[in-house]
Amino acid sequence: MNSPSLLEAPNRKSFPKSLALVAAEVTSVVSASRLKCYMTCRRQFYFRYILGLKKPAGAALIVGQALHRMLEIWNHARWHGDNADLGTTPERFEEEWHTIVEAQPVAWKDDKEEPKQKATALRLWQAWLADPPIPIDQAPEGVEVYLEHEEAISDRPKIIGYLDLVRAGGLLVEFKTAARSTKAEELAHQHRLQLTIYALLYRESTWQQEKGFQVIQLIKTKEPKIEVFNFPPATDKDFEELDATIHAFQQGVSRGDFTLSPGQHCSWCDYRTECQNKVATN
Amino acid sequence: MAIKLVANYSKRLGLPGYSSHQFSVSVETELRDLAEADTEMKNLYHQLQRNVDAQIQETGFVPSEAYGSQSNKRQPPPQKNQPQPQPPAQEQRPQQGEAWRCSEKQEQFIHRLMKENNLPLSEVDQLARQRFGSPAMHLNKMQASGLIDALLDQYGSKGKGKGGSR
Repeated sequence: MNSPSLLEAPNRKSFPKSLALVAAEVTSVVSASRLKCYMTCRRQFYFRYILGLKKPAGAALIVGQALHRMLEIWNHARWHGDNADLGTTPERFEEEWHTIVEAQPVAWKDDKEEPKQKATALRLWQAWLADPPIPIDQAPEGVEVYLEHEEAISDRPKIIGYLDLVRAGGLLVEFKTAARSTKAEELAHQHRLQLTIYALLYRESTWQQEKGFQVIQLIKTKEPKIEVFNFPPATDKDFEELDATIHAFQQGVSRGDFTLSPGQHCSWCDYRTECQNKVATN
Repeated sequence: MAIKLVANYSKRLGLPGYSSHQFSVSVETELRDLAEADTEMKNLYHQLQRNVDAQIQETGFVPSEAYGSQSNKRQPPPQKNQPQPQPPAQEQRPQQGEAWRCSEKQEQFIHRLMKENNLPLSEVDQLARQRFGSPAMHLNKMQASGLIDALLDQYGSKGKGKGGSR
C-alpha cells in the first residue's frame, strides 16, 4: 500500500469499483471478528479488511495465542486419554511460544518485553494446570472445532467460526485472556454476537441446542486468576440481533460506509496513525 | 387516457427452525379519473392485506431446526440427543447406499484425504469410532470437523487449509 491516497477512506460517493469488489468478497463470509471490528469502528474495518493493511501482532495477542494453543493441546490430550499435564510442560510451552513468535512479526516495545510477557503467560498456564476449572477426566465433544453455516440453507450469508471447546452435553466454551476482571453482565454483552454465532453453528452442525455457554477468562494480573462465567443458551432475540447486525454490516460495507468512530478504543487501535493522518488531511 | 393503478401487497413471516414464508398479491386496475386514486388505493390495500392475511395463516410444511442442514439425501440421526461415544455395535455399521450425515464438502474432503493417503474407509471408521463412537458416515458436521483435524494430524497436512477446506 504505497499510495497514500489509498489510505483515505472513501466517502460514499467515491467508493472505487476495485474496492467495491473487495467489499463484496469480505461481506460474503461473516465471522465474529469481522462483525465486531466493523461494529467497533468502521474506519478500522476499512484499513484491516478492505485495504488489507497488515500490522505486527501486539504482546497481548501473542500471550492470548500461546495460552489458546496450550489449552488446545491440553484438551486434545484429555480427549485422547493422554496425560494432559505431561503434554503441556514448561518445555512444551517454550516450544509453542517460539513457534508462535516466529510465525509473525511482533511489535515488542523493547528487548525486555518478550521475556516479561512469556513469563506472565507461563505463570497463567501453570495456574491453570494447578487448578483447572474443567475436570480432566471429562472428555470433550470437540476441541478447536471449525464450523460453517452454509448460505444455501437460509437467508443468512456464509458464517464461520472456531469453537474453542465443546464440553459434554453441548456446553460451548470460549477462552479469553484479559488484563483485568470483567463483570458477568458486561462480558455477556461484549461477546453476545460471538456466542450467538457459535450457537447457530453448533445447532446447525449437531441438530441439537447448546446446553449453554461458558466463558473462561485467564486474567493476567500479577497473581494469575481464572474466572469462569456460565450463560444460558441463545434466545430468539439473540438471533434477531445477530441477523440485524449482519444486515447492517453488509449494507454498510457495500455502500462504502467507513465513517470515523472515535472513542476509547482508538487508544489501542493498530491503525491510529493511518486514521489520524487521514483526519489531518480533511 | 386510462390511468393504470398497480398495487402489490406482500407479507413475510418468520417460522420456527430459522425459516420463513412469504405471500404476495398483485392487482392491476384502471381508473377513469385520477381523483379516484386515493380511495381506490385505500380499498385495494385493505382488500389485499385481508386476503394475504387470510392465506398466510396456512403455514403448510414447517421444517424442524434439523431440516436443510444437509442436502436432501443427508438425514439427521433419528434421536434428538446426539449419541455420545459408544463402543462399536452391529447396528452402527453403515448400510449399503447410506448417505453421509456431515456436509457434502466435508465428505468430499475426507474422501480426498483417503485417496491422497491410500486410506481405506475401515481405517477412517476406526478413528471415527475412537473419537466419537460412530463410523465416519454417521458423524454430524461438528464431529466430522474433528475427524478431519485428526486425519490431518495423523496423515500430514496435504491440502490443509483452515476454513475453505472444511
